[in-house]
Amino acid sequence: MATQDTLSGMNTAPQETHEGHKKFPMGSIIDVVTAPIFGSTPLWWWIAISISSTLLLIFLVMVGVLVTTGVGIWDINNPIVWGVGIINLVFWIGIGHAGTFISAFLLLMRQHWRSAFSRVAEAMTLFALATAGMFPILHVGRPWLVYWLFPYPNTLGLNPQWTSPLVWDAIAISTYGLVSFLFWYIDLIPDLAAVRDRAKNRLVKQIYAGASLGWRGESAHWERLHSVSYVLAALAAPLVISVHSIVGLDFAISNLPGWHHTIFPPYFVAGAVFAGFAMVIIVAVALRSLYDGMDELITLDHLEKAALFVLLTGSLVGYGYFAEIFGAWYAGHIGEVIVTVERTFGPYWPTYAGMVLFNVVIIQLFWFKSIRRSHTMLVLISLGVTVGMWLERFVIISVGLSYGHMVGMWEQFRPTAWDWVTIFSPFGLFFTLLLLFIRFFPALPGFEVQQINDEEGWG
Amino acid sequence: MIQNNGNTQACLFGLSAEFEDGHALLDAAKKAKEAGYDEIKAYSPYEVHGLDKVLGHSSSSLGYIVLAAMILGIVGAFALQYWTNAVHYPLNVGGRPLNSWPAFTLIMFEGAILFGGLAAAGFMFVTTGLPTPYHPIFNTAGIEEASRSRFFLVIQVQDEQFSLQETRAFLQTLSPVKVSEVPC
Repeated sequence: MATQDTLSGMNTAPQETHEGHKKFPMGSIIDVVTAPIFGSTPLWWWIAISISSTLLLIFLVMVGVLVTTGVGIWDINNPIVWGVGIINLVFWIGIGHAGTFISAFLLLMRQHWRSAFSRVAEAMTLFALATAGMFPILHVGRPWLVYWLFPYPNTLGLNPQWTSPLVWDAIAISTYGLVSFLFWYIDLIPDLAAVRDRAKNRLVKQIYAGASLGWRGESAHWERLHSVSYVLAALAAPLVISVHSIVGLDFAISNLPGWHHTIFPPYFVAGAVFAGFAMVIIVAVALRSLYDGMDELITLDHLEKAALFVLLTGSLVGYGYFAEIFGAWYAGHIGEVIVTVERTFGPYWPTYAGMVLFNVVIIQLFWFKSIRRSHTMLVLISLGVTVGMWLERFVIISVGLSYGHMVGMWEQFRPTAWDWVTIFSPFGLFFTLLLLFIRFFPALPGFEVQQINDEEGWG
Repeated sequence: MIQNNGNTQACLFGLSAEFEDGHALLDAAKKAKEAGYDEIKAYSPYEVHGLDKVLGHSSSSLGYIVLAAMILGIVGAFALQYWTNAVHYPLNVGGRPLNSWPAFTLIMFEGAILFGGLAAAGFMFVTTGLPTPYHPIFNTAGIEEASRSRFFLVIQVQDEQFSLQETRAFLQTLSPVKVSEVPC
C-alpha cells in the first residue's frame, strides 16, 4: 500500500489523454486524498490551529460577556438597532452559499471540475452556517429563549409571527443547515469507508467504520447514492437561492430608505456566491500549496474557473450597486436620495468607497489570464472581496439605519471594543472547524475524482 | 475458510472474483447473468456505469416518494400557519387578514424542501440498510482495495445454480486476478 506516496512521487507518471486531461494510475487519487489523515501533522497546521483556536477562545469570551451583560456591549441602540451581529449573520451565510452552489448547481450541470472543490466547499457551507447561526441566537439577547422562534405547543397558545421575514429566516436557515448536512454527509460516506480501509490502527479503523456506516461499495448502494445526490442537489439549488433571498427580504420588506429595494433578494444571492467563491479560492490555494499531490488534483484551470465565477458574480453585485442608485433617483423619494448621497460622501464614505473598490474595481483584474493563474493575485483579490463584502453588509445595515425618515433620529455608528472583537473572532470558530476538517476528513471527493479520472481523465 | 468440523452446512457467503478495472467487472457481471446466475453482488470504489442495468438496480420510486413528501411539506406548512394564525390564536393587527396566504408561501416552500430532503435521505438509508456494522463481504481477502483500486464480483451461495466447483470454474473463465471464498 502506498499511502505515503504522492501523485508526483509515484513511479507511474500520469498519462496525457487526447483532450489534455491527465490519467492517474488506479488508486493513486485515493492515496493522495487519504494521505493527509494518516501522515504526520504538518507544522503549518499546528501554527494555523494555534492562531484560529486562540481567536475561537476570544470569541467564546465575547459570547460569555455578551450573555451575562447583554447586547449593550455592542453599539446597538435606536436607531441603529442592528450592528455587527446582524452584519456577521449576513456575511457568514453568504460565505457558505458558494459551497451549495458548487456542489448542487454544478453537479446538476454536470461540470466535472466541481469535484476539485466540492467537498471542502460543502464543509465550508456547514461551518459558515454554524458561525452565522451564532449571531441571531446571540442577538436576541436571551439565547436560552431562542426556541420561541419555532412553533411548539405551549400553554399560552403563542405562535411565531408567520408574516415576519425574521421567522422565515429562522425556518429557511435551519432547513438549509439540515439539507446541506445531509448532502455533505451522504457524499462523504464512501470516502470515509476508503479511510477506514486504509487505517492500520484498530481504534482509528473503528471510528471511520462507524462514521462510514459500514459502507461496502455495493453496486446497488452506488446507484442509490447517485440518485439521492442528484435529488438533494435539485432540492438544494432552489433552497440556496431562497435562503439569501429571504435574508434580503429582512431588509427589503421594511420601508426604511436604503433598504426598501426590490433588487435586494437577487443582489444578495449574487453577493453571497461572490463572497463564497472568494473564500473557496483562498482555501483551495492553501490546500494546493500545503499538501503534496493536491496541486495535480486542484489545478490552475480549476482556480481559473472559480476566478471567472468571482468576476461574473462580482459584476452582478456591481449592477446591484448601480440599481440601488438608480432606484433612489427613479423613486424620487427624498429619504432614498439622502441615504444614497450620505453613504457615498458622508462620514461613512470610506466604507462605501472600500466596498466599491474591492467588489467592483479590483476584481476587473480577473479579465487577465495571467492574474487568474497567479496564486498570490488570486489570494490577494479574494481577501479583498472578503473585506469588501463585509463592508457591503455594513453599508447596507448600519449605514442604512443611520439615516431614517426622521432627521432628528439620525445617529452615527461608533463600534465599541466588543464590536471589533465580534468582527474578527468568528474567523476563529470557522477556521478551527475547517482545519479540523481537512486534518481528519478526506478534503476532496476521492471516489468522484477517481471515477472521472478512470473514465475520461482528470484536469 | 469453510468449516467442516462436524457441521454438515458449510458457512459460506459466496465466491468472489477480483478484477482490476470497472470494464472487467461490468463484463463479468453480464456474463454471470447470461450464465443464469441471479444472486450476484458487485463491489467497486466508485459507481460503474451500466452495472445498475445489468444487475437490475433502480431508484425509480425515489422521485415519487420525494414528490409526495414535498407535497406533504407544502400542505403541512400551510396548515400549520393557517391554524396557528387564523384558528388557534387569531390576532387582529390593524384589520389585516388572518389568512395572509401570500406571506405563508415562503415557509411552504421551505417545508417542501425540508420534507423532500428528509425523504430522499430516508430513502437512501432504508433501501441500502445502512448503517450496517457487519457484513460477510468484509471477510473477503483484499476487500480493503474495493474502496481504492479493485472491483469484486460475488456470486452468493443462495443462488440456485451455485456449486462450489462449477461456480469457481465459471468465475475463472472471466480471467479475474483472483477467485476466493467469502466465509460468513
